[in-house]
Amino acid sequence: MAVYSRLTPLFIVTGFLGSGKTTLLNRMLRHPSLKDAAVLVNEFGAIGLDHFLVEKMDENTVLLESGCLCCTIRDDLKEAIIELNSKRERGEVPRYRRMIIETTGLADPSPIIFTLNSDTVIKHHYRLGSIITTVDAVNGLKQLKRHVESVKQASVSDRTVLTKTDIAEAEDVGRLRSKLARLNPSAELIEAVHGEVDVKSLLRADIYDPTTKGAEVRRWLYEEAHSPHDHAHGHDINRHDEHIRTFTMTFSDALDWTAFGIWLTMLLHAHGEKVLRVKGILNVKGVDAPVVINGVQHVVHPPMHLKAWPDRDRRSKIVFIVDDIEQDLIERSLAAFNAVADAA
Amino acid sequence: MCALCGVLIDGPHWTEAGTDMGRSDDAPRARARYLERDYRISLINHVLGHYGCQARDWAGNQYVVQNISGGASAVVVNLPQLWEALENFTRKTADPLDNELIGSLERQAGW
Repeated sequence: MAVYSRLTPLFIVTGFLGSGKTTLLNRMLRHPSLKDAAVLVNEFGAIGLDHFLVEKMDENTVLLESGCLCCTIRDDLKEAIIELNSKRERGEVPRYRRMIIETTGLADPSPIIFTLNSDTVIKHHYRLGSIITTVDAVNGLKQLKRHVESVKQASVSDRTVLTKTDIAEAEDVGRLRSKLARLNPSAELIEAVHGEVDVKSLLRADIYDPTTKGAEVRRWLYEEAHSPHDHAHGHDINRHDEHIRTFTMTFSDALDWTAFGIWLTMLLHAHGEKVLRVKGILNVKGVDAPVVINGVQHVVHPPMHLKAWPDRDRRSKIVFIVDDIEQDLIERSLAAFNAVADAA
Repeated sequence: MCALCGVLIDGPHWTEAGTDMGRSDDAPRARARYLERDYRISLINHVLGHYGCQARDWAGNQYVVQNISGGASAVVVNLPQLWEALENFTRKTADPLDNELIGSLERQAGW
C-alpha cells in the first residue's frame, strides 16, 4: 500500500462555459508553487496553456450497466492519468508532484470523481486534492438557474472562484455570493480581482492532505456557520431553484458508525442522484476523534479520522445539498436507524 | 464506494474499511472486524425484517440475503449489492425515507 502522504494530489478545475477556467489555470500555472504540476485538459482552447506538461484527453465515457450516470467511468481521464504516470516512472516526463484536471464547461463533475476513486492504479498513486469551481459573476445567477451542470459544479466545490467581478454590477456580485454561500456553505468563496487570484489560497489546504485536513475542516465549519442560511430553521430553499435544498443536520448525541453506514448506503442507493453533496463531521460512539465524510451523488470518498476536534463543539454536523428531498424526512430516517442501534 | 456499483471497485466498501481506507493505524483489526461484521448484520436485519427478508454472514466477506417466505437467496459482497438483492426479492424500492420503514424501525427501538 502506498504511503498516503506521498500520493500525488489531483486538483480539479471545473466551471460552466465561459466562466474563465482556462484563464484561471493560466494564472495558476505561472505561480512558482505549480511549476511542478502536470495538467490534463479536454481541449486545447483558444487561450493556449504555457506550461511544461499539458496533455489532452479525448472524451470517451463508459456507461456502466447500472445506468447510473454519476458513476460513469471516464476512460479518457483514466487512460491519460495512467499514461502520464507510466511516463513519469520511466523518466520520460519531468517528475510532476501535482496534477490539475480541467473539465469541459458542460461536464458533470461526478463521473470524474468516480473515476478517480474507482481505478486501482490511480488510487495507488494519486489522491484527490481540492475541487476548484469558477463562476462567472456576470452570468452565474442565470446559469445556476437554468443549467443543472452549473449547480452540480458549485455543489461539489471546495474553492469557488468568482470571475469577471470587475465587469459585473456590484449588486449582482452580492446576490451571486449570497446564492453560492447558501447552495454550498462549506466552499470558500474567492474573488478574482481583474483576473488575478491568490493562487496560494486555492491550494493552501485540502481535505485529503494528512497535514492540512484538520485546518480545512475548521475552515469549512467556519464558512458553514457564517453562511447566510437560516439557522433558526436549519435549511434554505434556494430562491432561484426551488428544488435544490441545502441544510445542515446537527446531532448532539454521538452517532453509531455502523448504523450510519447502513443508512447512508441505503439513502444513496434510493436517492443518490438527488443527493448532490453530503459532507460532514461526525461524533462517532466510542471514538475520541471525529470522522469526516464526503460524498457526491452515489460516490462516497473514503471516510477519514481527524486527529482531534477542530474546536470545542463536539456535535455531529452533516451538510446536505439535495434535489427535492425534505430535511425532516432525512432527519427522522437517520434518527430511526440510530435509535435501533441504541436499542440493540 | 459507489452506492450502486460497489462491485466494480476493488478493496473493501467504505462502510467496512475503517477510516482512511485502512491506511491509518486505526483500521479495525481482524477480531474487531468480525465483531463489527456481526453487529452490522444484526442492524441490517432490523431493516430487512420489515421486508420479510434477512441476512447472514458467509465466509466473513460476503452476505447471504434471503427472502424468509419465498426461500429465494442471493450472495452479495457489500451493502449496495444487498439493497439491490432486497429490491429483486420484494419488487419494492429499498428506501430509508419510506415512512412505513421509519415507523417500523421506531417501533423496534421502543419509541
